[in-house]
Amino acid sequence: MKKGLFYVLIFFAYAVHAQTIKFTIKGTIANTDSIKYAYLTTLSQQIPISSDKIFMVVPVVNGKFEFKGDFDLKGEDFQFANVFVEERGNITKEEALSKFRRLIWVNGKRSNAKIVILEDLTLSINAYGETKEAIISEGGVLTKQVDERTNAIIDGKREMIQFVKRHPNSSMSFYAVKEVLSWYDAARKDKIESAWGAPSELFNALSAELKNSKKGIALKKRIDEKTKP
Amino acid sequence: MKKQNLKSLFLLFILLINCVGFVHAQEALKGTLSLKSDFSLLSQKPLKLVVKRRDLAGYFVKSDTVIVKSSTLEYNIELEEPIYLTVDFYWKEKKLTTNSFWAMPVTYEIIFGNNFTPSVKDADKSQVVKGIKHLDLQYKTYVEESEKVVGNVNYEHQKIADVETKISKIRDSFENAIDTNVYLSAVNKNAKSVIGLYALLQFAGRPNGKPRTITEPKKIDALLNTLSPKIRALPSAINLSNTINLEQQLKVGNVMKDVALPDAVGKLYKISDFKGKYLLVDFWASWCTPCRAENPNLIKAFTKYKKSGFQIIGITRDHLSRKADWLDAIEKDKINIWPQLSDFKDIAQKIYNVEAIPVNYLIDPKGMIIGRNLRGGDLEKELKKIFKY
Repeated sequence: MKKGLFYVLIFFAYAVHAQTIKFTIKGTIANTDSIKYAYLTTLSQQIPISSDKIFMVVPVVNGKFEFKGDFDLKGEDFQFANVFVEERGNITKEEALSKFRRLIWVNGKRSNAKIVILEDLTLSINAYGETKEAIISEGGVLTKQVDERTNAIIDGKREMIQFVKRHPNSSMSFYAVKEVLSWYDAARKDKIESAWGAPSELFNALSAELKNSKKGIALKKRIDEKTKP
Repeated sequence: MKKQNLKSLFLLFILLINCVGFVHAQEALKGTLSLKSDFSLLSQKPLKLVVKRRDLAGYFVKSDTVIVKSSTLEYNIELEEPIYLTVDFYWKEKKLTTNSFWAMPVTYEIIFGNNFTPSVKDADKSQVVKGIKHLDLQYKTYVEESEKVVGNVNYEHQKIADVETKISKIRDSFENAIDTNVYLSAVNKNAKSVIGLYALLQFAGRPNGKPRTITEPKKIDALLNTLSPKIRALPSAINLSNTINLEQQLKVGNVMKDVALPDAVGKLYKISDFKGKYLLVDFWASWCTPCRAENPNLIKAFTKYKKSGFQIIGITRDHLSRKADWLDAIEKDKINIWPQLSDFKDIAQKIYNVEAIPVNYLIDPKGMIIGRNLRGGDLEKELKKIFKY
């Protein structure tokens, strides 16, 4: 009996920390010149969001590819990844890691890679070298929000506030508030407020559910500490 | 063969444009800089503007906030040398528009286009500004070409280490070309011009992470002395000279200067508190990716050699408003196993002239500096040599 309870507790403790998600990422390619294989990886040049857990390669057949897998989020809300297409099918994880480490590949800048979130989605890629501009034709709720958030960062003009207002209950909005807060320092207060909004403005645009969650309360405390005059 | 020809043509082009010397126009380098603007034709006037100055080496000098009270602007500052000016205009509803330019001690008129986008009339008229921009363009051209060549390096059927060595060699060769063909060439051709000083300041601060003010101070000092007395008297030249002198005091073989700094709870630590141990003083910040990428190596080294008398102290370049980020980074990177000190008043920054990070010093038990900027394999090698395991 005691032993059984022990296993239940162990399982419960594990289940709290482990949150494994399943994903299916599909793609269609209009012009397959110079494209024979598709890759999906969680590797990135950005150390905080990089993970060496996923590195997958599949052949492109009749202009289509598909990745299926699962990923342990380990307490995070989502995981960034990137999809790229190549003629070569023998790119190794080590080669990819070297290219990220040496900044030969820079996600966000690289025209042949699309930043995605590990979730169910379908990408529509036009041709080689245009993967970054791929359209999400199905699913990809968070990935679409990544694109919106990126545009809000680039455009400035306080577009980020509108982004959070459009998705008040999204983990991507919560991430965006944290991100702007991380850029904040007293010397850049005016500039940050003009470009993306004050962290408190962004926080206030989140849903009551997110604001009152444990992590929401912690974030508010952090905002108050960091932005107090 | 075709690629080789293209590369040769590119380098020939760079060399040719280098042969064109800059016009040594006798422009005034000191005097009053005026910014003028008329807002009366706009649908609104800005609420304020923030004017930020950077010196010839790119270091931040000063920021002024000007509240706009009338429909015209006249803002004057006294310049001791050309500066890089960024002017931020703040409008109603927190709208921001901005312009940056190299400024001489003359009057500039700022005009506004669509969406209140500012532009500066005749900003590039000065020969000095033309010269500086020409150097920047040459630098950019080399860097872009370097990245193109590196991007084409073949990894297929090769050892990663060999490819990475090849990449380093390519990047180094382009860096050398930048130093020789762009900066050194401009120093030699412009001894009487501020363009020569600008080129020398770039040369002295390179390569990234191992600036020549540290590795070749004598060479930098000698080059500084080739410039005319008038140019050597400019503030950025005096700063360079001071940096060389300070770096000489902080070179390997000298005693490490002492400093007392607090940890997160206010407990003061001095570098001299650690006499008797091999001490690594590590300057870092929560926002510094290469600094934090190094932390796993530091933890490994600390764990291995702590029992033999190896100690680390971290000094953050985070400002007070980023204290929470600093503490988070310490926890996340698990580097609370050695003292983490703050430098919110820039005391250590001034003593050790920390302009860019990561920076570190390795000090022996007597307090002598025995290494600088040792990272990854270099630190491991040095510690192996010291502790013999």
